[in-house]
Amino acid sequence: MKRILAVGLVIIFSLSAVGCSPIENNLDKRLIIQGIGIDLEADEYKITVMYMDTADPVGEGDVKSSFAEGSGLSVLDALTDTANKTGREPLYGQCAFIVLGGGLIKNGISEPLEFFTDYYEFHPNINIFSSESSADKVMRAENMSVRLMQDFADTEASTGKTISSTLNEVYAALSSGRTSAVTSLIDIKDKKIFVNGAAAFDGDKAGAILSSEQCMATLLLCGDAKSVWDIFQSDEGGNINYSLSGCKSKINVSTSGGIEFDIAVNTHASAYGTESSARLESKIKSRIKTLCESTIEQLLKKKRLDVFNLERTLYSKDYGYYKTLENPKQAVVLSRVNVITDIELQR
Amino acid sequence: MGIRNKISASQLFCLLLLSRGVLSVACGAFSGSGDIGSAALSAVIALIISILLSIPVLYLSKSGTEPLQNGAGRVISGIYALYFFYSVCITMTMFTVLRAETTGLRISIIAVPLIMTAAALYGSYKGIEAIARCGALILFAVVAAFVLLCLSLLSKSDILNLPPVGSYKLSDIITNTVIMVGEQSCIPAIIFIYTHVKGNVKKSVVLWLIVLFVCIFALSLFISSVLGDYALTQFFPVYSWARLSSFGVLQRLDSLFLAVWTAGVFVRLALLFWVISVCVRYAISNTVSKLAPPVFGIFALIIAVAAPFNSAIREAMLNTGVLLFATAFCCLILPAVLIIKRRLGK
Amino acid sequence: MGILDFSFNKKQKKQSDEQHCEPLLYCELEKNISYMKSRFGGSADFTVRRLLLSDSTDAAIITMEGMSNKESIALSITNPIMEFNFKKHSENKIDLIESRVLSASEIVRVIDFSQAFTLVMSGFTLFLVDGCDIALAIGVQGFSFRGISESETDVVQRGSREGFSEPLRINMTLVRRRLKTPDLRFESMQIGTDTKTDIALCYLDSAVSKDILDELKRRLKAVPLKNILAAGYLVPFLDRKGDLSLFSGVGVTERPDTVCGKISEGRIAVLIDGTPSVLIVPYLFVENFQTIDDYSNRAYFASLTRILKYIAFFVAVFTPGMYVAVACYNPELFPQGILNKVASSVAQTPFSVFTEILLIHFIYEIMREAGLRLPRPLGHAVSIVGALVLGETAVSSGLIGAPTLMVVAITAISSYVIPDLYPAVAVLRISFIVAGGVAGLFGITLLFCAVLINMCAKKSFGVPYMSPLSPFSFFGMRDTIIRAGWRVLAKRQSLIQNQKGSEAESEEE
Repeated sequence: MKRILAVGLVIIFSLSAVGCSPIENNLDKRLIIQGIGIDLEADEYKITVMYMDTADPVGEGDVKSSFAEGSGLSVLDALTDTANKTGREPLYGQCAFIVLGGGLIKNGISEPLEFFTDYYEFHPNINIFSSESSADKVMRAENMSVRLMQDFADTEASTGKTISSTLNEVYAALSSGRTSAVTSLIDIKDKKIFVNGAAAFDGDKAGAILSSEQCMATLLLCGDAKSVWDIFQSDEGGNINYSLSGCKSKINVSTSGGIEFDIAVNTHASAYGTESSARLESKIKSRIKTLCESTIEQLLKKKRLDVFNLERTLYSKDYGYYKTLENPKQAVVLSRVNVITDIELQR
Repeated sequence: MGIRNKISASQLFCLLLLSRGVLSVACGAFSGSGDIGSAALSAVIALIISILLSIPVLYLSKSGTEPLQNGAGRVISGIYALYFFYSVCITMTMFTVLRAETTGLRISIIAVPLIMTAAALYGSYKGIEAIARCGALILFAVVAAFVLLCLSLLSKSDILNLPPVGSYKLSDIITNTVIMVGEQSCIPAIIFIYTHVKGNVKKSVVLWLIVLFVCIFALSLFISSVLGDYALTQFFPVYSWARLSSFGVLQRLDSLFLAVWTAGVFVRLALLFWVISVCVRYAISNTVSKLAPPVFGIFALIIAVAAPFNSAIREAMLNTGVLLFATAFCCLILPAVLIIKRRLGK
Repeated sequence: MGILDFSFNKKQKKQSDEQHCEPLLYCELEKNISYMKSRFGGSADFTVRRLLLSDSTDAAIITMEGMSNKESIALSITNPIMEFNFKKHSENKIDLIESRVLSASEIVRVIDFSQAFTLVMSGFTLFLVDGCDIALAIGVQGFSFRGISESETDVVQRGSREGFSEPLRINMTLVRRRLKTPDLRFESMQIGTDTKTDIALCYLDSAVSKDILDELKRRLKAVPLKNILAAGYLVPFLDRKGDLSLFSGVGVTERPDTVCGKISEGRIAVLIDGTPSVLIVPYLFVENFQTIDDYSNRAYFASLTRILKYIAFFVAVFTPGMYVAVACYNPELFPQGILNKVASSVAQTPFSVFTEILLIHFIYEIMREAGLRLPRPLGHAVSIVGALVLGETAVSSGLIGAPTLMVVAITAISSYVIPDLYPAVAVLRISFIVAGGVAGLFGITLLFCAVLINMCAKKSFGVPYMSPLSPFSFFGMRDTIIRAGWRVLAKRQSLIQNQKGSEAESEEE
């Protein structure tokens, strides 16, 4: 009886041994996609795909990449078109970044992002970048590489000059509607790309471009700043060069007599300057407060973009009051926001 | 003649925790049922209901399995066999759907369920002692994987992602509670495992329920804090949560975690097949009980393989109302009938 | 066993039964000698030395050439008998010779030919007297044997350099010298209808479980083999019937210190004449990772090496299969740099990853087997060929990829960390490669589960094979994955039959 069972199992196992088909599963027969750029031109999606070129012999240094293009009425059609042109089945599991071109960010990013969220091969921690130029130009820049794009994403943590986001973060912001999605902004000059601030979205369309200082201020206000450095001119002449670390922020909301947010920013600073510690500390404190307040004024009041998690805080901490609001977004825009900064200078 | 192959109460605890826990984790007790944060509240309610459901089962089990082996008891044993077969179908369907939706169909759709069924049947053939020992080791691996997951995702959690309690919809709470209670097929299984356990079974069962739902409670809050509203778009939020984990250069470890959870599903299926063989032994005979698991396994395999392609089968298997009714029937009605029968017999 | 097997065994049994029916010794010396000559069929090593006692009674000394010490025969047997005055004594000659003439320390009375043959072929010298139907077998063995030397399979850094030898008596003394307690017992048995191999069950009476001992004796008595030429012949009969496991519940060692350590924990050692390998029962999975060096080194280092062994075991078993599974189905698990190398190597080689790995493994196994059987002078040639062919030429010619070769190399090195488990590791490795190729990580997981449940179901003489991992015993873990210090180990000794889940334990409850 046992032998019959064992033989039966072996036969079943052998018959189901279809997965090891040598052709289908060979890595070299697959298009290993490293990054995708998406443009929208005349209601048609244009995809530029960067893939790992395994045809060349193994060498030293960076991975050699090649490009392929495709277009279609939907992202899926465009990707299928790209794959058909190369004759290989795409492997999206290694895709590290997506660049949203200028045309796309103006017209709406929810449809392509929905596709990437739903399709199982794309991982939710893919870095999303925006660009005011076309994604194709960005992808074909001279210095484009996966490592560079990863470095761009890490800029948030190292300098605070941009705000990087992953697919799940952007999509969560779009679907909840309680916060504005933000992505890193890639600029191109002399065929070379560099990170230059961030793009904030109003709904799923680009609403505003954040400068480096605005990015820094936003990170400080949200409590997401890991390491920030800045330089500004002192009133007495000369520059003050400082860096911030261990940044924390706390948002308190009070709803008696209208909505009022108190954002307390607490951080350690290291500075280089000729002045005394007390003066430096005071100047840095003033600088940060000014930056934060002007960023809030620009983005929240003028552009109506809540990138500071104010509405989310209201929703989370005072749901009862939130429920009573007809237009919470409007209420937050019209709210009073106070910034309190507390800096501890270490020299 | 006493039963020789006995497992300890702590082994029973590990077996039940793994068997039930992996269903919530791998296949998702909160699949597509609204805000995952509300699952935390559902867990509390489900705990109370589960403890209540386990009372008649434990009371019946104390008196041994004789009521199940005579007269009407044999019919009831047959009904239990069908119930556990239904549980097997649900587990395999959910696992196949999870696999199809998260890893695609590069691996043949039939290969994995087939190997899973064969392995689980082999495990059931080895007996409850082997399943319990194996389960204890696999539980350790699953817990270790979870701890690693939680550590890697701790930095990604944001308290603002947690929805306020007031925002929980009653319909979501009820749906999640129904799912959690409906999946408690391990409670009626205790009737058939009881005589094979040495030690304090009641304590073990109560502890299992408490630990299980505390874990579900904590897990749902943690997942909610990491995924936020992104979880609303995911059919398997636990898997989506695991996809965010990374350790330095090692990223995209979800497939590894899925493999570990697969081991947990194996233990569950092996246990269910073993319980089916015991039920059939009480209902019919020892010889037929040896054939019952492979026969049931083949049917379950067919259903599981067809489910990703046939929405009718999929909906039938994932119908939470039917599942709840079946579980409540097996936890309350059938034990009550047997208890009354025993009392009348005296 | 099939029907044919059963018939064949029945015939063999009948033949061996007929062979075992030897008659009792005759009173007439000539009859005894001629019977023995006819049974040995004129074998060249069968020697008869006739004597005439002082009272003119015929006698004979029978030996097998080369088995007895001629000098001892002369000093202990021939000279004393020739010099003794039998005329003055009227008692039974055999009694007289046994008690007053012979100076040997070991004398056995023999009444039938079966016993006589066994003893003569074990190196005893048979002394027959005309008119007596009892013979005396005198222990004057003098056959050549390999001296006590270090075991080549059980190598340690700090332990004793003595290893078991082929003669059973020598091995018994090696154990006795180390355990100077009267509780140490040796129980002799004979198995093998043709070879009549002497075996000795060695245990501590104060520690052993009587149930395990009885079960062992029962299984040994049921061994149907004619020839026992190596320890491995007995292993399948000592494992539980129908046990289809890759792992064995019987341990093998060539070290006396290891045997003493094991029997102190209630285990039983089976010493077999003619082989230096000693079998130990019961034997658990975790013991494969324990060596005597662990107890000689400091606890922290011993723990580190233990953990390394466990890691090496998992690396040896899983690495190739995982590599195939990840390369075929989950390439996103590779970091970018590694994926580039793997994809490039796959692009440049004609075979798929799955085929490549299997191919290299088979070539490696062939080379390993060749290296074992080759004479030493040729061993260098094999290593050169292996290094050049596999290491250099195959990769540079593009037949095999470098990452694949690296994986196989790591696997091979890891598998030698636990040589006892090599057979199981080799088979499991191939199985996991196939499972990974067929069903990716799912296939590997499910195969692992099947193997694990097989190991969990296994018992070695009633003791769960996976103890103390599962059923978990906190007390047992002090000498499993880590090795606790001697102060902790010395507090309480663990006996094998008291492991959680063992049948002896459950029966006591």
